[in-house]
Amino acid sequence: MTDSLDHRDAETMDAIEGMVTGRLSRQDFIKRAGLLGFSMTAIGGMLAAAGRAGGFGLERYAGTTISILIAAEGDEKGVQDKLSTIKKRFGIDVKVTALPVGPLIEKANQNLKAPTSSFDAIMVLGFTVAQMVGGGFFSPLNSYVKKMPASYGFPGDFPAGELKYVGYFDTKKQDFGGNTLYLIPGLHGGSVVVFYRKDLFKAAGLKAPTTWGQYLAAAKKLHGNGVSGNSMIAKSGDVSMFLVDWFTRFTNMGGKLMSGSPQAKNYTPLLTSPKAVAALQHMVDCVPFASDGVLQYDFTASTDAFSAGKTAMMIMWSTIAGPVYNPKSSKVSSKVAVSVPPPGGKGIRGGWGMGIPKNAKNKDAAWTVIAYLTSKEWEQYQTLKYQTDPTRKSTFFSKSLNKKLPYLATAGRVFDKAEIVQIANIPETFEMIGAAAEEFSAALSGSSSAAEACKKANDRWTTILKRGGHLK
Amino acid sequence: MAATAQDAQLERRGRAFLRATPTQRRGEALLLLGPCALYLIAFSIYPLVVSLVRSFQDYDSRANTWRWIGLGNYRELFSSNEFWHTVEHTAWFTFGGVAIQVVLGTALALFFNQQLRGASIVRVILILPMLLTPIVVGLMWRMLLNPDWGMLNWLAGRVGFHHVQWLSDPTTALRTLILVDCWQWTPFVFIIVYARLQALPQDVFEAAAVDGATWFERTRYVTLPLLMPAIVFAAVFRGIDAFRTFDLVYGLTNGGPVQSTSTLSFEAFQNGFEYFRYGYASTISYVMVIVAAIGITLLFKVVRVRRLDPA
Repeated sequence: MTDSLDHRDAETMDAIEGMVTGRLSRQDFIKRAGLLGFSMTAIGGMLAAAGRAGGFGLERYAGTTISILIAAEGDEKGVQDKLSTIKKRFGIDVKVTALPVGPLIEKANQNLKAPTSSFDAIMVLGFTVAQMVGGGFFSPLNSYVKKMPASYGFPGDFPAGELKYVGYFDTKKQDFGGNTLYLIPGLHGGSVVVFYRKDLFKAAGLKAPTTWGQYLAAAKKLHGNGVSGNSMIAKSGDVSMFLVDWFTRFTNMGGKLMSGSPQAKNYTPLLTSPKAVAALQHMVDCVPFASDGVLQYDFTASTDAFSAGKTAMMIMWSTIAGPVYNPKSSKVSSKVAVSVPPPGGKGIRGGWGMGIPKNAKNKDAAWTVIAYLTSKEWEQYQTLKYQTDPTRKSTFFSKSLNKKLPYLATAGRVFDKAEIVQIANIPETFEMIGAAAEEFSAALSGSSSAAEACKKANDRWTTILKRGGHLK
Repeated sequence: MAATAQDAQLERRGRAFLRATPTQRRGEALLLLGPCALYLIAFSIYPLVVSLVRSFQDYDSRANTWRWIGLGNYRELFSSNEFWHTVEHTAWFTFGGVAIQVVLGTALALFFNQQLRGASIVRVILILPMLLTPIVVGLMWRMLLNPDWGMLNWLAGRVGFHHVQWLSDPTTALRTLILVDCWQWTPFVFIIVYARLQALPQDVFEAAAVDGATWFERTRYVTLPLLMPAIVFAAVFRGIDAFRTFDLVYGLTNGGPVQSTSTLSFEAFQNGFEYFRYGYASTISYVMVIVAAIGITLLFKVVRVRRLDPA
């Protein structure tokens, strides 16, 4: 008998339902699932997804220790909290290495290319999927995910765009999507939203902007009395300047970043297009209504200024909503509101996926842990306690969670429609984004025009693409 | 008697050594030099050779493979505008910064040589910046120069200069970087020159004074020539250090804005560790090694250091 839910019959469904509803004890479920021919891996996955797993019956993993490499972006807190739960339910000891993005990429690359990886599961940033997964360094997860119960919510509970981005990858075409699943979205996702001060907007008789013209007008009107009309990430070379501020404007103006494809070797940048220039020009127009120090603002500085009550409005990664809404870390926690970016409500697709390196030692145990850490149970716990952005629709649109975290539904709407930055499918992504962010800063500082900056960025992209063999 | 016995023992040992065969002597030499040689081979020679080879290769991060491209990286480097801009910034930072540090450091040394009251306390305070790690200096100055709440901008505002974009304007960022480097490293030049100044023979100054030389003449014709070896040492040492500066740039400007403060070291770092272009980064490093070697050789040829003969 195959270990597939495609062959599930009424008995299987009855067992799963019984376990989910609590009618069946975990031990009874394991016995019945065993009789139905499911492997211990499949049973472990089902229990993990249903949040009903227990230590007994899963002796297979007793004494197993696995190592995972995850991002130190808040996820590690929820993981640490649940280590004892993982041990209790599955008998697995998990060693956690949590690193900031840069060192994590370096560490992951070293391990993926070693004869044996020190990590059994690795979190992969969306922008590095092409490099890591595209390099063929991860194990397909299709066989694992097939065995998961419906309650795990795969694929329906994940936005299709996120699954395409940090889930499926076509290693032949070297592009996102395809039929082979290498990662499960998590441990956090995210896009961008417009954060604004509802008290200041109300006092000025304004509503959340629905066009870029309204955005600029609001910035202009609210600027003064110790508050900047708007803020942005304007620090030279900062990738978030490109991804958050420029790309949000650009994609909502209907811009297209590239033409052709790397495979056809005609991958051509379109940074000199009118929409690309217009997006940058809008940022330039917003600078006079920002803080004097905005040209040095990175992600943290911009967020801190907003939380300190010095900014009326900004576009920012939605994952910072938690601290901004938290009275312990924000002076404006009760005065802040969020809206989707104008006018299309689209943003950059961010987020991570978690997968098993091909050269990992404990693949089955790693899957059990991944299934748990990407389950509804863990994600809702993490989102509520640490306010990182989730990846599942059920978490974004959970009524109970939205009562406590009122930004979630808006962030979920943007996340659902978010767009993959087109150049994320080649290894030179970061270099290109950094180059554009350097050139764009010249326009923001007034040392060049928006058109000149876009032209220079386009030229640099062309050079990089030619060097990488993506453009003849 | 005892001395005679000791001498005899030493003589026996000497004869035994002389009797040692060349093979035995080579063995001893290997035993003594071996650990040091192994260390050098493992941590200096091997990495140098490997990185030289890498500078002729291209790394494919997807396939994790190296491809031999001959002089491809060098061709790309020398035809790149970015590289020549980086060379220009590095030259300004090195020569401009070191020149200011040498002048200021020497002037401070001469000033503190006048046995002023309270000078010892000021001297200690003066050398504190060089005890800090450059990355910390970078971060600290980034805060001091913050246009919103930095202390320097607040002070500038008090005297009528509002919203100075120290680090955000491509035309001022490199100057600011040099300024911060001078703040940190002028004390180094000061210490070297001051130490030398303290050790100078007093009779030549007394003779000059007897001959009726003014303070300026004594400084110009006696003190500075005698200080020259120390000044050259400090300049060369600082020059090498400034040429390879990375951490201050990383902490203060991250090479921006618009690459206006990107130095060769920073460029190598960015290509190697941010873009995974290890081959190209090795090429930049090798060019740096060659330029540094040529620069130091020329400097020692141009600046003639006279040996001081107390007799």
